[in-house]
Amino acid sequence: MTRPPLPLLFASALLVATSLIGSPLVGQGQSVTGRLTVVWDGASGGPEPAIMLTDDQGRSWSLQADSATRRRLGPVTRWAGQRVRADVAAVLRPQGGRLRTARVRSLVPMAAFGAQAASPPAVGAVPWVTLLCKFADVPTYEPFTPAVVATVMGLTYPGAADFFRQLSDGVADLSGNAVAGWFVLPAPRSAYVIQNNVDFTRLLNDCTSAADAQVDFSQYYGINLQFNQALDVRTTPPYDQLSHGGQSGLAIDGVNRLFGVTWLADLHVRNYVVITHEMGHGFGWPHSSGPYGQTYDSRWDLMSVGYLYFDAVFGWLGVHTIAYHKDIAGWYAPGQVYAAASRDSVQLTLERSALPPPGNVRMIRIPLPSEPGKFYTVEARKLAGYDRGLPGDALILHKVDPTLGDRQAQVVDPDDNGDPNDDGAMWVPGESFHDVANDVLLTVLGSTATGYQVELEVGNTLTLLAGAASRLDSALVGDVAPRADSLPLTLRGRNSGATSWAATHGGGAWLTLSTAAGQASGMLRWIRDPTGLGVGSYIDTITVTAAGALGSPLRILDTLQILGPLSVAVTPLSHRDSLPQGMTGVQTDSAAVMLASFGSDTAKWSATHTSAAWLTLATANGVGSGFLRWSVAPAGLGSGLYVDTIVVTAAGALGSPVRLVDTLQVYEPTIDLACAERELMTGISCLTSVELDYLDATGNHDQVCNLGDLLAYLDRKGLTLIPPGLLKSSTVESGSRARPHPRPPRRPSP
Amino acid sequence: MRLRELFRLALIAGVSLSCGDGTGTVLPDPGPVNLVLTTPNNSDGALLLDITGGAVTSVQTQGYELAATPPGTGLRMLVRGNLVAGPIATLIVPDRHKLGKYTVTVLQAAARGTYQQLPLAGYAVRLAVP
Repeated sequence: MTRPPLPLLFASALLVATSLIGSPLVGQGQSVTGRLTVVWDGASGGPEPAIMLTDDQGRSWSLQADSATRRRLGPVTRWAGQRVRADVAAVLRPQGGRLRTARVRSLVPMAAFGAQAASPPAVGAVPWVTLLCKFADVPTYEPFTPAVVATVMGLTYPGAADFFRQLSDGVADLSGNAVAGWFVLPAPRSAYVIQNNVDFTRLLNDCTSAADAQVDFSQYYGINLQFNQALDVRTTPPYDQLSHGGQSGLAIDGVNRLFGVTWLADLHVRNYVVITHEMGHGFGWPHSSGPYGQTYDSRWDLMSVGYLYFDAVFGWLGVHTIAYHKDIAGWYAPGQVYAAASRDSVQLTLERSALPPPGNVRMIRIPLPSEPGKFYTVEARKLAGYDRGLPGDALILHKVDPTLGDRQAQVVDPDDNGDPNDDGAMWVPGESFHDVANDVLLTVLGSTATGYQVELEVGNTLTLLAGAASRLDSALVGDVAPRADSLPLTLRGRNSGATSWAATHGGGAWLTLSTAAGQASGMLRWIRDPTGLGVGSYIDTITVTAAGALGSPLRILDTLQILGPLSVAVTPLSHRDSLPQGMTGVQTDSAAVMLASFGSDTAKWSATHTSAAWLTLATANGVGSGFLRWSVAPAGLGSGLYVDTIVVTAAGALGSPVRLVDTLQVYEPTIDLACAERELMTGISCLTSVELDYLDATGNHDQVCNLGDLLAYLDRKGLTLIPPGLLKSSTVESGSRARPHPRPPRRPSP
Repeated sequence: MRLRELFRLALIAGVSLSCGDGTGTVLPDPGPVNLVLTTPNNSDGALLLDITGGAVTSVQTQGYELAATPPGTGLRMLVRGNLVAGPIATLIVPDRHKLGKYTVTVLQAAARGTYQQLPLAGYAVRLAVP
């Protein structure tokens, strides 16, 4: 909670606070399950709410999360009052306190605990009870009377009941506000405020328990806990005392639901701004702000800078909260929020936030197509009622991201000057807000006594579009036939039907615009004349103009290629494989077929070959340039040279047919006879698989290299066995059996 | 040949006498032993033989080509030619008294001309003292 700097610097409190981070007590992997309490306006001054948890043993936990975890968690307020499991990275505990502090990795909602969802509508009777609670170490200290508190909470200006009656336009009724107390807490202040860490849940439980005999909590929407001493102190300038607001689940007096809760320091008992701001958190509102990363910089919201109007009698008073928050609270009736469609065009009167007349629209919500889930809100603010502290009369826009943990709504301030409260963020008659990316155009047409007349155009900006940004055509050199082309032109948006367009081009003599002007959407037509043009590329630009249209002038690049006649080439034109006799696999080969010039993209080619059985065409045809593929298989071929011709044909193409000569050299592997004999006799591997294949292929063809294959080789070559004594020494174990060599697995086709 | 027969008979008698007194030593009988082939085919072109059970000092063939592992405690040998039944090779062994311990196995047989592997049923090779 921001307020004017106080003269007191709570230096000692700061020193204590900075020593809070104790040593880890429990390692990683622990989880704690219990009921979540969300508390805003923590001592660190950070924008995110504090997360408290009362575990199943009744112990209080303060859960801390780093910024990355916070972003991952999103708005934790949606889990307020619900049962969650906190997965703990480390547990820390301030010295001497019962409050446990844990650093969490994640929060996981558990089965419903009976509490209603966070931020229930604050509609109808939503009274708050204020409990006056005294710390046990100062049981007689009563710095103010219940009557004072009743006045502050009352229905008389500027009491809280009156304030929220005006903010809600009478929808929220706090006339049943009550005050109870004083009650004595069971423990001294030091048990609740431990080194500037507040045990919020214990304060809530102890204070409500002390009052339970006198208060029927089931009758109240919220609970103000008003203490007789200070709570914590801001740890950054101005080091002022803090009060807090939030939401917590309670099972009490026969109900088990979410309550709005405030924890109020004694200093703030008459501070209307602080009290209503914290009660706002109790209604489920986060802060709002400008777009500059600050929390308390927007003078358009009680939930940002609150001290906007100083009343000589009552001190600082707050302004209204923003329309987004009022919508969260359920304070707008059907018809008071205009939800713009993705394509929309409307004029309407937007009534001011404070003291609006009945009827008419209070808020416009505009979805952002480029940022799904986000939207703009538009609201009229005028100096009236509690809004008399505003910077001025104006239409105000906020950009809303509901997934943020805080400051979900941020003022739209296009001048980006760091001040969301000046003219740059205030839209007045005659001014327009234009979001080009999302095609949103908002114009303030005029002002009424209680609002503004606005015109909204969404997805309706006059826009000129073409079917393509460029065109390409080609013609055969020597052609004289004109070539017609066209593109659809689209005019959409406001006045598109009455908007004219006209086209010009850059002056290429080969291009003539045949339809060069029109009204509304239509076809742009032109003719390319290739007569007399030599081989090359000819480029011109067609420019289309539509006055006042987004996208105008629109340029279309037109290219005419003059090409030579179609030609075909194959590379390489010869190919040679050298493979061993007896090889049973296949060798695959390829050559590039290149079609060029006019019609090359759509020209067909095909290939044939002469009758060689050892050659098989795998890819024998295609369209446009590509690859010719074939395979050769030497199985069954004796050693020697084999030649075949592949003929590639492309009808009408220069160079067709193209002949590719494929040569297959089948060679006999050199066999080391001593090696072959030794392998046959001993079974010890000596020959290569190619040699084994070769011997069998030239032998008995039984798929195994064996004695018959060796015999055939000797006969064919006229060789004799190498006599004993000429063989190299080898060992034969007694009783071992030589075995035929099974043929190794066939090689995969290359 | 007659003298040789007589010599052999005398040697056998001597051995018998020696055995009879229960105290004598049987002298080794080194010498040649024929490998005698029995075959169901008349087209054998090559054989792969495995000889185990005792030492072999050397091996030679009688009109056939031969390849063999170095002699030792048994050997393997390839014999190539127009093989017919009967003696196909001669082994020199260190003690022919121990021929009964030797085993000769036909591991593969291949046919002349067709080079087909031949079924081994019906093949046998025995050791015979010349």
